[in-house]
Amino acid sequence: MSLDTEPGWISDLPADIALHVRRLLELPDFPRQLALFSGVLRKLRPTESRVAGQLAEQARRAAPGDTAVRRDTDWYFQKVIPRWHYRIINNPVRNDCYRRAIEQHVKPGMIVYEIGTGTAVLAMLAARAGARHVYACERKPLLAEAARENIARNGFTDRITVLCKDSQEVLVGEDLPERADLMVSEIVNNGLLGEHALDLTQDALERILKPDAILLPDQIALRGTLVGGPPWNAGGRAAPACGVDVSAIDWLGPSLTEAPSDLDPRMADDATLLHFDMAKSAHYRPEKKEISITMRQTTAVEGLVHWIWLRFGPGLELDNRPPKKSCWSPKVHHFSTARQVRAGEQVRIRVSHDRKSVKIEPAD
Amino acid sequence: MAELEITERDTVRRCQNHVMSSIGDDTVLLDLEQNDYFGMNAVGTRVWELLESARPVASLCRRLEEEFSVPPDQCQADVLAFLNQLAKEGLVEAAV
Repeated sequence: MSLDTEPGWISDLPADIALHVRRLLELPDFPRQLALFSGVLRKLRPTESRVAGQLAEQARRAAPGDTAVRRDTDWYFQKVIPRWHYRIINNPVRNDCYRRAIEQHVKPGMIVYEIGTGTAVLAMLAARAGARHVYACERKPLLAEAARENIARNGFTDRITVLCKDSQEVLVGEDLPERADLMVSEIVNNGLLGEHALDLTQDALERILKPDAILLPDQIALRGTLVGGPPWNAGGRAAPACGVDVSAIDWLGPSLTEAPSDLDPRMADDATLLHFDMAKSAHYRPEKKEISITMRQTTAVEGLVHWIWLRFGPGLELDNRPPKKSCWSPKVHHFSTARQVRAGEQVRIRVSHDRKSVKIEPAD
Repeated sequence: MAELEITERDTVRRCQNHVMSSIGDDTVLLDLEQNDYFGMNAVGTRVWELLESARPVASLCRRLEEEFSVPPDQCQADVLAFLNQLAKEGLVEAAV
C-alpha cells in the first residue's frame, strides 16, 4: 500500500505513532500488524490507551473476517462491547418476553423512546408493532453504528432514529420532535440497579416522556432466597477435597459470585428484597431495611442467591430465578459464617441500596 | 542445536527482518519473523543505533564506556547479555 492511498485517520495520530503505523502500512499483512501493535502500544504507553483503542478499531475495520486480528484486538473490544451484549441478544426467553410486551402496548402512531438500544432489536420490534417513530438512544458509538446498520438491513431507516448520546443529554425539540408515548428499555443488570435504571427512568419521565407514558418494564425487583451446602458453595467456600480438609483458604474467599448453573434452591421461601415501580422512580431514596425469610428445611444457611424480576404490565413477567437459564446470572452473596437454622424459623437479612447498587448481608 | 553465543571477540550486525520505531522515549522493534515486539530503553536504543553497520563487540563496548561512564568489565558483561538477548530474539547475529 503506498502512502498516497494512506487512510485519513493516520494523520490524526500522534506523530511518533503515525510514523510507526506508516511503516506497518508498507507490510503485506497491515491489519494484523496494526492489531498486534495496538496491544503493544496499550502496554507501552498507558496514557495513549485511547489511541491504542483507535488502532484496534481500525484493524478490525480493515479486516473484520480475520481471526488473528479479532484475537489481537480483543483487549479493546471486550472492554468497549462487553460479552453480555451477545448473551442478551441470544436469549430467546428475554427476547420473546420483550416482543410480547411491545406487541401488547405499542399502538400505531405512537412515538417510542428507547434507552440503550444496542443491536436495536427492541426499537425494530416497536417499529414493526406500528410505532410512528422510534428514537433509540445508544451512547457507545460502535454500538450505535451497528444499530443503524441493523436498522437499515431490516428496512426501518425511515422510522427509527439512533441517537448516539447519553439519554440524560437527549433533548426534546432537538433530538426528538415531541415527548414520547412509550419507553422501552433494558437497563437492568444482574444486581438490578447497576445500569442506573432509576436515575435514567426518572430523567426520561421528567424530560422526554408524556405524563401518561407507558413504561416497559413498569416494575422491577430484586428477589432472593437462602442457600447452603453443595453445589453452590464451590464459589465461596472450599469443600473437603478427597477427604482432605482445605478450609484454611475460606477466609480468602469472595463475598459475591455467580450462582452455579445447577443451583435450584429449595431450603427457604423466596423473598422480594427490593421492588420499584418505575413510574415513581423519583421517589425512591437510598434505604436500609431488614427482611425475614422463612426456612423450609432444617439446614445450614451459608448465603443468599438473588435474581431479578421485570414486569411489563399486569400478567407479563420475566425473571431469572435459578435454575432458569438466562442472559442474567443469579448471584450468590456468601456469608462469612454458616448458621444452622430449623425449618419454620426466620432468617433476617439486611438489604440496602443507594439507587445504583445493592448490598446484602445477614442481619443477625 | 544450541545457537552459538556472541562473545567479546565477535563482530555483530543487525538482522534485516524488522521494523524499528521510537514511541516517545522508548524504541520498539517489530520482529517480522516471529511477529513479535521487542522494547528497548535508552541504552538499548543507543546500542541498536551503533549497530547500524556491523561492528566488533569490543568497539561497541569502548564507545558505550565513554558515553555512559561505566567500568569496562561491567560494560562488557551488560552489552554481551543484551546482545545475546537480541540474538535470541533473532534481531542481531554474529557476522561471519
